Amino acid sequence: MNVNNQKQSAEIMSAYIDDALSADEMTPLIRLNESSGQAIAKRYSAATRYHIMGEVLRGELSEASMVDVSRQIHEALRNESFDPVEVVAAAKKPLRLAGRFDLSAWLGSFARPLAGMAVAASVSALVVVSVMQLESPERTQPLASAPVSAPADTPATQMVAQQPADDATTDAASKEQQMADFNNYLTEHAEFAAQDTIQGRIPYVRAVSYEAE
Amino acid sequence: MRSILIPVLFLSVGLSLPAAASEVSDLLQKMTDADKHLNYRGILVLRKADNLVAMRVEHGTDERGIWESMVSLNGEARRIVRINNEITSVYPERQLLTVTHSADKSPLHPALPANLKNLEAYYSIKRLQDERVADRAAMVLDVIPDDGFRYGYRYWLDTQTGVLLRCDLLNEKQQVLEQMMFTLLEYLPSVPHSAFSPVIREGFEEKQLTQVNPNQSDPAWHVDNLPTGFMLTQSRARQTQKGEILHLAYSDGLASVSVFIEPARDARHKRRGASKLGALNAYRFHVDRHLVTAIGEVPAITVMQMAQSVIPVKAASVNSAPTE
Repeated sequence: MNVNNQKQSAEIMSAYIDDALSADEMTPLIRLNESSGQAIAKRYSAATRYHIMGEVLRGELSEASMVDVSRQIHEALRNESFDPVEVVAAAKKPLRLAGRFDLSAWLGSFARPLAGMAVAASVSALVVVSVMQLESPERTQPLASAPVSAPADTPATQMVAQQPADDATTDAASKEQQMADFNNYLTEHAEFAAQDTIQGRIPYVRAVSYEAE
Repeated sequence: MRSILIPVLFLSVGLSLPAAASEVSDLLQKMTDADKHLNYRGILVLRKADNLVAMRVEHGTDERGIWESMVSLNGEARRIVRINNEITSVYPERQLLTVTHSADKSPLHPALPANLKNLEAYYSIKRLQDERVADRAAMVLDVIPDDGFRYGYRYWLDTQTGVLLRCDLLNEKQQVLEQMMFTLLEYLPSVPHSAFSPVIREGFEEKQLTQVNPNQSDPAWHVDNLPTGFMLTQSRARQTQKGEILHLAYSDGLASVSVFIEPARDARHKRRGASKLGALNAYRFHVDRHLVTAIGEVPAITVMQMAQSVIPVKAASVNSAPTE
């Protein structure tokens, strides 16, 4: 790709990210995709990602974007030959034979799930702006200042969805309600776990530790 | 060389042997029975990746039942007092008090956890070399799952009494997810009644968390794709202002998963996804205008599979009906 093409590509991408491309203007983008193959495809993918991030930062993430994120995640998984069904199958696979621990089976059973987790990590930038934004009450800094790629195991005492900025009052009440709901769930779960397993007091101690986070 | 190798191999085998079924069930039974007839107090520490919680524990049993008091020693002050089936949690800083009255335990599957031998269908259990915890000699049991649907456990039991002195929760890679350990333990001749002074209720907001309709024998929802070994052990419904919340409790005797089903209230409730908090995984899913939340100290795949396979019982019966 020569310098002019690069410049043209950058301008089109910039317009695309700003959502300022008409249908006609999309044609060169498609043509660029056809002519420059994977490199452009990667940039298109990145642009889409930035576009969605922009929507999130502006509080404008739409249902359509969610579907698109979902589709891309599925695409990423498919391209990585990752099959969730296989992960479940791997989880079901016995790890021992005839009462004896089978080390090779045990090690082998993790190959697929771990591969899947690696893929999941590779699409974490998409996941972080997708359906659920998980955050703990202590971490209520503006999303714009939050890291773009949150770790997969982001601590979250509550399952709280990020909401549009113009709905702030309702949001606060909604988040508070969801926090209360989830804390109730934890309490009920701890009580049940203490009753129906041989763990004794451990679930209660866990519940205290969750509240401490 | 041979004279050196043979003793070494013999020693390594001796350190980690699959425990005989009877020995395993005896040890686990000893562990579960210990709290039914012993009085003690101590300091219990829970460590997770970035969190450390210390609690003072006082435990006793007498003709009135089981008493237990736990007081957090760091973070937000909290006291939990359990007297048989009543659990009172006190939060002095918030002036909040919650009370839970559990129904007399009558799980749908009374075999859990009494029939500990069942555990060997899903876990490989072996005894490791004895160690010392809280200045007490301890037997060590390794409980490793046979599949990827549950975590592993390592138990340190007081050799003399069977009290659980330490417990490690292990992930799929046998890495420690959390550790719970008594750093100090003192056995007592009688119930430490001073630990169970009446809870001061004046000035506190009191919340009753008692379930309204415990042990529903015929819940309206059903988890269609349960991992092997998990059984429905309790089912109960709680009435709230927003509608009825159904709690389905599943366990294999060690691991436990709770599935909560409630009417979806608004668009926000349609959001779904996974969350992780220490050893606890949660997954939220939307089914037939209802919000399903599965939580448990199990791998993420387990809560995801269970939440995604929740269906109304009517659908389950249609699916299972013979086709002509």
